[in-house]
Amino acid sequence: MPVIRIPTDNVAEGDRLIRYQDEQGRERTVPLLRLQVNVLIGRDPTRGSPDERKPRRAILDTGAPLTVFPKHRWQSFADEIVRLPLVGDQNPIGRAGGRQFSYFLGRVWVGAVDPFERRLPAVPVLAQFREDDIPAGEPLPPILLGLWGGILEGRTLTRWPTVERYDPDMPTLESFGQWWHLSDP
Amino acid sequence: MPEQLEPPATEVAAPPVAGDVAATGATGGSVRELVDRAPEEAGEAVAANEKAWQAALRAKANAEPALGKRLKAAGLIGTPISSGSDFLWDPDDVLEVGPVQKEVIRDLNWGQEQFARGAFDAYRGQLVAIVNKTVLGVGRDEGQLVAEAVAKTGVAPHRVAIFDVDSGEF
Repeated sequence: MPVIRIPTDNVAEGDRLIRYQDEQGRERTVPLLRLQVNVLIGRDPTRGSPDERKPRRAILDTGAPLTVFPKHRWQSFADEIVRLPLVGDQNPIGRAGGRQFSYFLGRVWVGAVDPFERRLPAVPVLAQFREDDIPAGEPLPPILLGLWGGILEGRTLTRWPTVERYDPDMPTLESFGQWWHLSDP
Repeated sequence: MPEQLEPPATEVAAPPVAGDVAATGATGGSVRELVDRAPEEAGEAVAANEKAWQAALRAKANAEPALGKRLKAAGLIGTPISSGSDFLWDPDDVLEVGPVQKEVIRDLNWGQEQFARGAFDAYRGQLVAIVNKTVLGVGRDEGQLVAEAVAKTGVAPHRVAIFDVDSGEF
């Protein structure tokens, strides 16, 4: 049962902090959590062959219907993508993070790794490959790993509640009350 | 409900509650200041504190197996995850990444630590090229960043870690 852990990263800092007063009048802050996964693009190498796939950061987003690769990330592995034509006269227009984008549909093999140097085998992933250029000055979007047709297919995603505040392997990594892991059956 | 236990007999300060400004002293927090000033010492203090709590809980669990089961089920204790756990997975089944990938992951982990400390705040929404815990470039073009890092260090392109700094938007 290969398995990886998925840490929760808190991206709440500076002007993105949400502060509020609770019912007892104490000021509190809201952690803004991301499920961070590193991905390997391409099929797993055969036994004994060198593995030159580079771990790339991505966000596991179960609220995203499909996996989405922004242009500035997929351009470096364009030759790994099999393009799949849309049927009929559909407009290849997608939406993520409140932004509309043009895309092409394609399939690419994606493996997943965690910060503890473990991996899950690569699986074929159906994804939207964004074709829009992000204007200078605007933040570059991350790779989103979506709910269907992606690295979650046939696998178990588990959220384990915990009161252990810090990770036993990485003491600076906070749990935020949850340990996540993704495993093959 | 999780089992309620007395704190360990040894003097151990409870870690501050996540998001509890009162526990950290002020908005922005003394903990953050401590991390900025001395990140390694802060990490060690947290780890030592947490380990003491865990050791006390595990001692109770070992003495009373029935209590131990409830503590595990409640998530109050657990053996270190990477070394295996009977309620998570068998460590013998784990697939490891290759040696170069391990180096890239360590650089990405380092990038994550810098991000958590606020050291990458100026780079939000951009890409950072890292090799051996050294920032070699910041920009928006992955190919260009990799080429520059290769030219500076002589490493293979797949050895260059590209850390995309989260913009914090959601």
